[in-house]
Amino acid sequence: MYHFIILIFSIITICLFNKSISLTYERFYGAFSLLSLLLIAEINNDIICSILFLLYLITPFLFITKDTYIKLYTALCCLLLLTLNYFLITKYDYFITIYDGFTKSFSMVIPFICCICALWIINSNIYRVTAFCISLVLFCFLAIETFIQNNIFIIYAWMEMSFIPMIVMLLSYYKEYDLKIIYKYLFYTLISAFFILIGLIGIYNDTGSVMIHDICKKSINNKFAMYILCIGAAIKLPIFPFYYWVPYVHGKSPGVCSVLLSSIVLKFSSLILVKMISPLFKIYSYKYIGYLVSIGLLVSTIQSLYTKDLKTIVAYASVIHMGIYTFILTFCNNVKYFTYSVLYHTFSMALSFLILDILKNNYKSLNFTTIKIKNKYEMILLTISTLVTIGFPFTWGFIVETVSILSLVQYDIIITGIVGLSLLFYTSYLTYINFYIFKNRLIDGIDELNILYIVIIAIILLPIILFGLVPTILL
Amino acid sequence: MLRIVALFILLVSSFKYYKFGNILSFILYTISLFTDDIHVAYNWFSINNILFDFNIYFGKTETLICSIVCLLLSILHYSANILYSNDKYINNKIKLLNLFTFSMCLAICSNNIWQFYISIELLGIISSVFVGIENHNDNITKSATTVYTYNKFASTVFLFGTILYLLNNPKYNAVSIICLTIACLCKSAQIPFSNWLLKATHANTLASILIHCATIIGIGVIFISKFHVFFDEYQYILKIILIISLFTSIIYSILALYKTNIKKIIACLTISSTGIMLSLCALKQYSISLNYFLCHAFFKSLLFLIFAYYMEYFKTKDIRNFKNLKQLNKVGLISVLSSIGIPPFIGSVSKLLIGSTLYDYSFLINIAIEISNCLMNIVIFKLYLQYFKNNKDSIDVKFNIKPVYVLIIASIIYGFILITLFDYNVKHACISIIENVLVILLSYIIARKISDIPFNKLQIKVFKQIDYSFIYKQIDVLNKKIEQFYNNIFYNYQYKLANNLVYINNSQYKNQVRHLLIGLLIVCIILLF
Repeated sequence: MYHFIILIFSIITICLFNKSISLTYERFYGAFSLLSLLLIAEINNDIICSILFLLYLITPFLFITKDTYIKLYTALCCLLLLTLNYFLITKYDYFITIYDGFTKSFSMVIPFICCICALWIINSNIYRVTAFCISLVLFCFLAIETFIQNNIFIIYAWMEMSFIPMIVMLLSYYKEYDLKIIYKYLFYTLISAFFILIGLIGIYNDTGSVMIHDICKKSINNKFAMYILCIGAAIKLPIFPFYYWVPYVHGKSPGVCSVLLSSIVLKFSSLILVKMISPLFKIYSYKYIGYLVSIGLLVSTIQSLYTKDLKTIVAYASVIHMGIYTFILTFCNNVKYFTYSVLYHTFSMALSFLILDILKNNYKSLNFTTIKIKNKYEMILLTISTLVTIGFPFTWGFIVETVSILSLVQYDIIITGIVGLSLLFYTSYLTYINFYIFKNRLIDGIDELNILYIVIIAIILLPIILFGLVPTILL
Repeated sequence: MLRIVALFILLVSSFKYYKFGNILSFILYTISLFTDDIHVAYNWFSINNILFDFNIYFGKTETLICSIVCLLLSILHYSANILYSNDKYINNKIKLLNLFTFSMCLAICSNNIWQFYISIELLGIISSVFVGIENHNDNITKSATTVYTYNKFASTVFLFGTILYLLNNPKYNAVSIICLTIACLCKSAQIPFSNWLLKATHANTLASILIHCATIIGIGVIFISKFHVFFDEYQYILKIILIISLFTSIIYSILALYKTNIKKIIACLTISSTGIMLSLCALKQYSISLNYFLCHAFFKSLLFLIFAYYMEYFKTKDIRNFKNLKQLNKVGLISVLSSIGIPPFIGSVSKLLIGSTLYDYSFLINIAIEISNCLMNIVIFKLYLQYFKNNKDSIDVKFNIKPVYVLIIASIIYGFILITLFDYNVKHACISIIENVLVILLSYIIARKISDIPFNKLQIKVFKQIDYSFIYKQIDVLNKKIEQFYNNIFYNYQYKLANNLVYINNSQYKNQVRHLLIGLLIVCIILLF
């Protein structure tokens, strides 16, 4: 089945970009695609297969010359990855070894978000388009691979490899890039990678196995390895006191990069929590992490009250949300509700950052005290993003809030109180910002918005409303 | 089924066809008063074997309340066309009002706490939007945020209470009831959560009328009277509610005398009325409390609507800039008579029923309620003597006051309907009427005496004899003592730390202590891991 899909994809590619690609390249690509298909069918080695497939995806980038075609092709690649994943998950058990809700949902969501990002950049000016688009496809591929693997070291390898395309994307968005973001991002991810690696080696020494389903069955005596693994996850997640890099990097990173960072890269840590720590930690108490997270929540909420940059505020909101969802996993050990909440986080953060990207393109500065919105639709979109983030009744966030508080109340009432307090603070601050911007708006301005933006935001809004109205689909 | 259709119409009219939605739903509710009760349930989702479902129940009381809310909404819509025809965004505001009414009806017909929680959350968000939408300055933005924060606090506490109750664990029952009570007190703007209603006065007048009279303020009353089974086991909680609500009603009726903003005066009166409603709930007189809630909706909206004309004509909310408007004198008199409870107007129904039921309770409660009634009457008489009486400065302008007439007629009709629904002891009723007349006379005399004094200067005249400067002096002394105490502890501690460590210069030891603290924190974190 998937051979057929790949074949159709290559035909579509050749037909679509007929004007852009010269005849020799077209022939070459046709031959290459057929060859790679044959090889993929013959070889049973996962890694070689995936490298071949990647080469097959990336070759047209070398021939296509027009910028818009490159962007369109990127979206097409992500769409191909999405459809392939869908068929592989439902029909085959080819390279997916762990078949659970978490893997299934994220291997679908990642190409979806990448596809949306690729469509979103059609209207924005990127300095190095080819580099950006190639790294977007690479990133999408690596992220999916990270989620569907079973071997802990291979997961680690894919996860760390996905940082390279991310950094390339950060470098290639603007002509004058901010090196400070990249330094901070690199520094923290490398440290977390170091801790995780030590933890994984410790676990391997203790159990003698690298497969997750084997490790889950055995009891682990190496406490040190798990604590080290926890610190690694805490830096990535981020948990108090390691979260300071997230608001900075997510807030300052350009355009679509912040969407990818918040809605995909942050989820790697949830992957570590679900697949590596959660099965191992059933034996031990999680209380330390719980209290740390509750302190961190309050601290980050109070910090967010002193920031004025809209993107940084949304990044803080993302930190707070992730902290609350960690409670669901750590205290209640409920992967299902955790997945439900984290999926909501992916969509809501993508929505908020995309809407803020429109504002950033039009007004340069995102300081909410100085911004003066001219466009009616921009104000509406901003209000929608606020309502989604604060959990308006009958949206996804509302159910997630209920689920998280329900899980928490059963465990510890004091921690529930702290979580409620931080929720109250930051939702109030978000509404304050919204009212403030509404006050400063210019009434007689332009009333039009690019149709592509509206369509993309509608596509993201659809699941947010659908899973809020009918939560039984996922719960 | 008509009632469900009406609910649906309200929801649709908040997005489209807003012109006929409210009147149509009012008609449907009124027709369905003569039909049987309905009960609809729908399983939404379940978590950990706890069912979260929609459970709609429309009895006679629920339908009556819904019909009155819809009637008020349609009258407001009618008056909006006359009063605010120049406003560019009035249609959007009417749509929001429809959504507001929908969520109120959802709360009224809810048969479980979960659905009640949803409507509370909706009401909170929409009421803050009403304030924020009238955005002219920083003050209003802050007020809108305050309104949202209070409402969010209430709804979050309510969610805690709901979930603790749904867990069905006897260990958590008391905590859950306390949470629900706090949420109710916050929603009904009782002390110490009453600040938000005063801030909500920045909203559009029509929204204010609906907020104050018929919707959000009564949520606590509706909740306690609907789910009174929860509170039956916990008598001490009811006693606390009684004390808080009586205290609030007295304090806020006094505060109303010192305000200069007409909206704030009426907000204070509303808070004190809600206090009486909640105290009736705490005395387990649920039906009487609901009756007072409905009557109050009518007479308060009448008073508010008349002052809406004043505000629109003088373009201000400050009561000191108002002058008598000749055309509104008669209507103003009717509203005053209705508020103080003189038959055949609707206020008399609630006064009669409250008087006859309170006869069995202790003298102290009776006295407290009569005092707050008396104080409220003083404010209303003062308003009457200053603004609804002919004098030299009165202005002769022609308004279209048809909506006011419609409201008066509707209030009289509903008064007759409400009086037939309740039974009362005739002897007790007679005593209560005498009591009421005495209170009215007393309040009129006091109001006459202080009628010449403007609202803001009242404080100075009344308390002229008392020298309360000594209080300020005492507070100053106390403050200084606290400061000294704090300084002693803080600096001594720092000196000791510094001396114990190393011999350091005076300028450096502060830095040293800071480093030490940071080091300690890091050690703590490492130990935790």
